[in-house]
Amino acid sequence: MGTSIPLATSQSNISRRCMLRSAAAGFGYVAFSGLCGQAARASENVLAPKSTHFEPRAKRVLFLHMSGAPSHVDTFDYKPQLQAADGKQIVGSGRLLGSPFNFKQHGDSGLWISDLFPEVAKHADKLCLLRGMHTDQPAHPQATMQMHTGSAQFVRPSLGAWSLYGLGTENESLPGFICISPPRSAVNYGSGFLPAIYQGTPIGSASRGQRGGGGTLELANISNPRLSRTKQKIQLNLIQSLNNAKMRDHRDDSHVEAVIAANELAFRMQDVVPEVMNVNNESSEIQAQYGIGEQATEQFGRQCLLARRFLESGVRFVEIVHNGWDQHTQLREKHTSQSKAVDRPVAGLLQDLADRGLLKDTLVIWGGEFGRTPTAQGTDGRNHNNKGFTMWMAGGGAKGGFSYGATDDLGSEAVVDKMHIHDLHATILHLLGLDHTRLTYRYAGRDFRLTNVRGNVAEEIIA
Amino acid sequence: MRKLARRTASTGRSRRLTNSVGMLVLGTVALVTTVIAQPPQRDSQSERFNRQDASSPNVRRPQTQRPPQQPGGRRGPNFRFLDTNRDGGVDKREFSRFAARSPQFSKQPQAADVVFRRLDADEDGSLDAGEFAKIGQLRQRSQQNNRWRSNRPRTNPFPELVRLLERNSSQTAASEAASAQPVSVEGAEFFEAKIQPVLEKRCYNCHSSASPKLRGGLRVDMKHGLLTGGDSGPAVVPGEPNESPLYLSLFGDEYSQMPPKDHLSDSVMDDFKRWIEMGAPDPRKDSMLFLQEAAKSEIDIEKGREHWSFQDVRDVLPPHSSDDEWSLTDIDRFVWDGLVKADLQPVADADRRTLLRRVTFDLVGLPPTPDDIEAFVSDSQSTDAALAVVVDRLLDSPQFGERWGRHWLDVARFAESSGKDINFSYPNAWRYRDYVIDALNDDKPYDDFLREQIAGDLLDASNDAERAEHLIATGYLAVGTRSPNESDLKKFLLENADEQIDALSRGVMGLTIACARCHDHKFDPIRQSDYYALAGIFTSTETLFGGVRGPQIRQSTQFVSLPTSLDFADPAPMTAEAYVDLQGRLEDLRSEMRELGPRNGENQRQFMRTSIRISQTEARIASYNPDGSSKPRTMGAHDWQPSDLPLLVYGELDQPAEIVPRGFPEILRGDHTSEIGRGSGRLELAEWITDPNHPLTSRVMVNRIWQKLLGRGIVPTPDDFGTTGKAPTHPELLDHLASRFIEDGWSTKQMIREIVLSRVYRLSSENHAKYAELDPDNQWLWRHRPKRLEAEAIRDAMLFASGDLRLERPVGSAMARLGSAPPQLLQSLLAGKDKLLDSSMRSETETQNRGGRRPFFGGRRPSGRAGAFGGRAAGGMLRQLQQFGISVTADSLFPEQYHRSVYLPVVRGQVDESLAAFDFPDPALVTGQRDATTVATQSLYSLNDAFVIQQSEKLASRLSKHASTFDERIDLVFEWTLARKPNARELQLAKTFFRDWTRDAGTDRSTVAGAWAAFSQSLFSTAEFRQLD
Repeated sequence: MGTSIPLATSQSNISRRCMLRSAAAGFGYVAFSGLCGQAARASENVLAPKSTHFEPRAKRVLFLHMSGAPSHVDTFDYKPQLQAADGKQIVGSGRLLGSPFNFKQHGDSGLWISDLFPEVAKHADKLCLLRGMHTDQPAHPQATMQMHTGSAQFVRPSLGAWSLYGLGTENESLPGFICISPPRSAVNYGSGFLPAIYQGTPIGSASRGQRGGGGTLELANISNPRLSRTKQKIQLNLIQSLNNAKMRDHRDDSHVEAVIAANELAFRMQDVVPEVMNVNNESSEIQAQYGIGEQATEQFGRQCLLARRFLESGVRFVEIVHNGWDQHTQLREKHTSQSKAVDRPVAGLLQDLADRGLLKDTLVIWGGEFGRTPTAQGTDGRNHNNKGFTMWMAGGGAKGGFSYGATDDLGSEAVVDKMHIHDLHATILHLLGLDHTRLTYRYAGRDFRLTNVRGNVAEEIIA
Repeated sequence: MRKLARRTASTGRSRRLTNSVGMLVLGTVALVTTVIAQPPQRDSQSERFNRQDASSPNVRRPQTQRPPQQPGGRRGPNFRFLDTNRDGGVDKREFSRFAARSPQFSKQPQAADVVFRRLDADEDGSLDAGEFAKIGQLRQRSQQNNRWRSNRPRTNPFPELVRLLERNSSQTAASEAASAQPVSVEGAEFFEAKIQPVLEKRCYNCHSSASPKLRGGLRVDMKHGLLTGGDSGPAVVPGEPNESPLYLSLFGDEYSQMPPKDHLSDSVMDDFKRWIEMGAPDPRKDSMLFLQEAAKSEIDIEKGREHWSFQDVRDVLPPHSSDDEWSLTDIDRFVWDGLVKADLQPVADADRRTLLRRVTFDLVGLPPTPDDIEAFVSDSQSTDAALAVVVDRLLDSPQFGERWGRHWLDVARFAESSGKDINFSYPNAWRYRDYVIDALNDDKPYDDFLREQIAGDLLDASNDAERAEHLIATGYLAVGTRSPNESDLKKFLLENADEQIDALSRGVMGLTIACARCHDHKFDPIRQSDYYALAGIFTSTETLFGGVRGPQIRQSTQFVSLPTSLDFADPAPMTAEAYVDLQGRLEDLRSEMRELGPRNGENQRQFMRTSIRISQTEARIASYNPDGSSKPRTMGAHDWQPSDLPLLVYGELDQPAEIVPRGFPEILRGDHTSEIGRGSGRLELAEWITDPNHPLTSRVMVNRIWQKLLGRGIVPTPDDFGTTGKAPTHPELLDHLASRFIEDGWSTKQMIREIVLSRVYRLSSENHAKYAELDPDNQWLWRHRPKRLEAEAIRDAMLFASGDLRLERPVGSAMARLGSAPPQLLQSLLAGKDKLLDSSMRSETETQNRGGRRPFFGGRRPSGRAGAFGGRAAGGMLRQLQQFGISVTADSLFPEQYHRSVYLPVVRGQVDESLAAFDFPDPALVTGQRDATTVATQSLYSLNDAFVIQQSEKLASRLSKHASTFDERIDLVFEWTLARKPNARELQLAKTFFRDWTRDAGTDRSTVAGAWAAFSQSLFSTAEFRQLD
């Protein structure tokens, strides 16, 4: 049992037999299900890497979800006319609030980014700003659900689950879809009607831990509280021998075979997972690059570094939720501290991914569930705005140093190249090499899609 | 248009009746409020959020003040009357004599003590008149909690919508002409600057789509609303301010004063005058509220009838074949026929041991005991006779309902929280769970079972017990998912109806009717109008799901109160003292709130937090009697003002088309064509669904039963009998079973009995190379299909082996004990439980298992001693729980962990790990067939989970008590876990294991007990343990 991180690239070293075995049964074996009882299909590995509809630009996704909704007009959507009209009364919607933060142009591309993100701004030329985002839902819970599943109405599979369903996983010793500090409602990383294998594995808890989310970062049942490795190995030998004996006695062995493979995989995971999750193995330079060691950035920095290690090890879809962006009041103070907590970690992550050559096929997505109003709530706050907001992408085939779509002069509503959540999803799937109209699953008598009957790919953002 | 005319006429009639009906309604409301316990959210909470709304003067407030509940009425019992010895004081004896006569105290005499102590301020053991008078205050406090509870109940908003639609339609021409007039730029600007802001600020609360209840039928948030007006006609007559009610009402002479509380300033009134004089220019573009033309349905119903499942069930005689020596029953004759035609032979029968394990798990979800095995294997009768005895025993055991009830709960998408965006608790959902289990155990005829779940509240009952049962059954309608965050009541109700239609149509009829919400069904002959005919039945029903109002919970309802004459076991009693404490807590919170002052930017967070705590505490108080017993309530449904719905184009509320009379899908309507009368139509719905001629109800159910026993349905898609579902492999057999089912009085037990006593059920699960090639899917049933055990059966089997399993039913659920506290709290608690389990296990191994479970918290009133079981996180948990006035110990909160798994709390999104690991279905969805995956997380669970380890250790300890020699123990542990003895090879493997274990010089659990625990755990982790051959 080696303890090195099984990079996706190191898989070529695995023996053919081992490969066959894990591919034959490993992580995603479905047996007994009435529809899959067929012998030929019994050993189908539903998590094996699958061929895409067309050449993918991204192989993996990291979604940095800023829960509570950051204000686009204070971060990535520069509105000079809003600054100019600061204090002006708008009939029916209140008084305009110019951004208390300064905007500057950055990089060769000259993208406008506010002073809230000085570190991320250094990577302006990697960013693809989506400034024409909009969503149907003006309240957090529903908008979060729509962002994650496309639907605010029904329990549906999440974006990560669809991605995993479409692509399979490249490392069977790790879950294919991981949610670090997951959203409060499990619907957002659930698999809905897709098989449960595709659901997100939560690590840490959003409801516990500090502001911003956190809690202990561990995977359930990954280690035995009682037994030494040697003892556990003795135990596993017994289990596997009993299973093998059963397989010999019984001519129908598909289930037993699957259990044997799953046991072996679990045993491997016990080594691999803690190893991958041990962020302290990274050099102090790398840790510092993520802001680990500084109080403000420690938590999110660790989460970002952990995410990179997962992605590097072959996890298909990673999400990190960062809570606390809902500034109805105390916009100045709280948006400053919120962005401080994520700015350096995100910048460090982008740099690290680029340095490792991973950014080109890793799609990083940053954003909240909606945006905020250009008008003030009280004197120092902004209300929800689902009609216009900004998200950004980096890497994974998205154009760097590019801005797509626009809100009106004040930032109140998307008007140019509008991008609905369905469009965002269609575009993400497209970058993964999947046609959102063809990625379907039959349930309750019809073929379902992530994008329901909508969704247009924003071709212009593709590098 | 003809239809429209008819509808309008009937509306006119109903309007004439309004007054007399109104009086009737008031009376009914009063009646209803005594039957329906109102939830706390109508208290100050709703007043805080809806103050303006409630003060609208042209609304008749129903006078439904609840009569005082306390003994002695408002003024309290007569002091002199109580002072029987006339010494000028009421002593404890006199007080208890009074208490004994009072229904409030009779159940729990200590409550009287507590109250006495509280009143006795000078502690002289006697109450003087002044002290005694304070009883009024205590009572008043609890009456305050009752007062608001009888406030305005929610009403069905759709009758009003329909009325508005019909009126608008008749006035379309006039208002369209008016709205067609161009609006000048100045006019538009004037409107936007002077008029619209006032309308928004002062009128929208009661007169817009956002109004909880639209007042006077008038909407001012749309142009047509002003022009066509409300109950008193057009609100604005362009150019004529003195003829425009909108303007006149500002003065309050001729019309009710608007806004109700204060006059608008003179300058604003002048603005309105000027605006109307200008011709009331209104640049708004209305999107809605005229009956639109719906797309004409292109579904050909007659052609649709050709699909097999819409055709009548035919009672087919079983085929007879002279060379059939294999068949035992009619079922077998159908199967044999299929096998022969496919050129297949059935394999041999399973051996008795395998058969017994199969039938025991299948019928009761538990393994057979060693005695059962011995009795069956050595029974000298024929297998037929011996098996019949076993089957009768199993069907009669109470464990049967726990197994088969759970199957139904999968289909009924049962859970104890709302799921979706805001997950809030359903503390009473467990009553429905228990109802289902009892119904299966009682073999309640399936048609009655359905009738009660759909319309139990409308059925006649011969006594209170039956009445309670019927009310609880309607929990079926209420346990689904919902988004309480939805602020639009109409949308909320439409979602609710959609969820119910989906659950009912797929669960009971195997049809995806909910697909027809936005357009005609794409595959099945279900029209969009069919959907709205059904939806009208469900929106004419108020689903009562509870919930406590808060900033994110905008929708909440009452619960159904159960008859108080019955003696319900109390799922979550508290002491009378705790009740009084809770009231004190509420007072504290309220004064905290008063100190906070009005809500502003600074105190917003604190304000919200306190107001949530207040409503939570109020909710908790309201669900208890002063003696500390909880009030028996359930989730459910009742009828409210019925109304048909308009068909909604694309399912959008702002695109209503023709009004669809409530009814049933045309393709399945059969004889049920008469119009739905006065009620919601649920009773008619129940009768239609349970009509023996309904082609789907019986087929779907027998297919479900067959699938649970044979591993795959005759129709392999149990929830989809439509054209996209799979066709039955044995259509005649399916119809035969469906007819038998109805003939046998819809008896589920009888159907199960028939199937398990057939030859085909008895087949071995052995593979056969040749047949596997001919029929890899085993669709012709040449062998028994092996099954992976369900999560519950796996977990129960571990408890069974360890000897920990408590077979009696727990009272209630952990969720009942949590009350209205958020279910996330349960998760924290359960996570803490693992830690506790872990530490207690350590001490148990050290002290050789004393078998005691340590209390979760230090005591009833937890203090800072949380460190013992999880440090700060647990301390936070305690504080949170205290905030909800809940004090618990591990055992009192969660005794279910040692009962059968069906009693574990089912919280959407956070299902217990032991269940989630083995494909427990997402309880948001109707699940006729569970997944059966084999994944590494299951292995991690078996190898490392604290519960599995605990159970292994208990099994080891039990072994050591029951057997002394190595061989005896090995025999026993195999029998307890795998229902068989080990073979020679396994014995050898066991010996190797123990040798290796002791040889390893590690310090961890090198004890014998440790080795046996690890060995037991290994058996739990085998494939065979989880598999049913």
